[in-house]
Amino acid sequence: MYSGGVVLGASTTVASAIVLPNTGGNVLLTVSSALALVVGVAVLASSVARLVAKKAYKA
Amino acid sequence: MIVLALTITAVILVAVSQFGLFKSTKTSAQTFTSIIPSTQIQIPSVKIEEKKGKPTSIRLPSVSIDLPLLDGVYNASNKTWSLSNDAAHYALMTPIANNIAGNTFIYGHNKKNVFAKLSSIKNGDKAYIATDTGLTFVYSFRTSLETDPNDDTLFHYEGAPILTLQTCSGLWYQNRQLFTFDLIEVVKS
Repeated sequence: MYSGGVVLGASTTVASAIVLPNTGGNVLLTVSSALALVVGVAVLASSVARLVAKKAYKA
Repeated sequence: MIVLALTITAVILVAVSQFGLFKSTKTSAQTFTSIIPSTQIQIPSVKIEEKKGKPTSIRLPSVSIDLPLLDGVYNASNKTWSLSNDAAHYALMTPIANNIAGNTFIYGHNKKNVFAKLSSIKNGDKAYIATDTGLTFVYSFRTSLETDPNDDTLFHYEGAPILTLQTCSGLWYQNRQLFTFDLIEVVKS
């Protein structure tokens, strides 16, 4: 350790089981992006399905 | 068909921008101790003039970061830290900036106006820490690693003076990205 902060003039006493700061960004943005992604994939899948069904019907 | 094309484009854009897909992601299982130089500090027989100061601002010109530093206080009862939306924090429980020993720890939100740009930092990029004693500590970026929130090894570091910056990483910000800098010089502000 730092000799109890004597050298550096700062308290360096470290308690046990410290967790690192939670510095997460905008969780709301992440959730909305994930939601948009899921909706996008769903739209994509249904469009492809409709296209395939349409072609199959014509044939 | 136009709707289909637009949807595909939107999905790709969201995936790339938000989740960093197609980008090389580096995850590491190493702990903080593994990035500490193998040659630990040896107390020299020549007396070094001690220079120190409490960090008041941080500047990283290469990634356009220039922020004031607030006190970073740890609340042991609920295991949380003080956190601002537009400033970084100097963790008070870690050593102040100095030229003798220890790890000065600074953290900030993973937001565009705080520490989000740290992800594009390159080896050798400089960090300038201004202090309340009129000294500026100049550090050089060496390495980064992604670690677990419970990895507290950085608080037990005892080697040569270094600076560690932290922001969160991961899809749900569940990890902690640590950026380690070595002290180069101390200049008057």
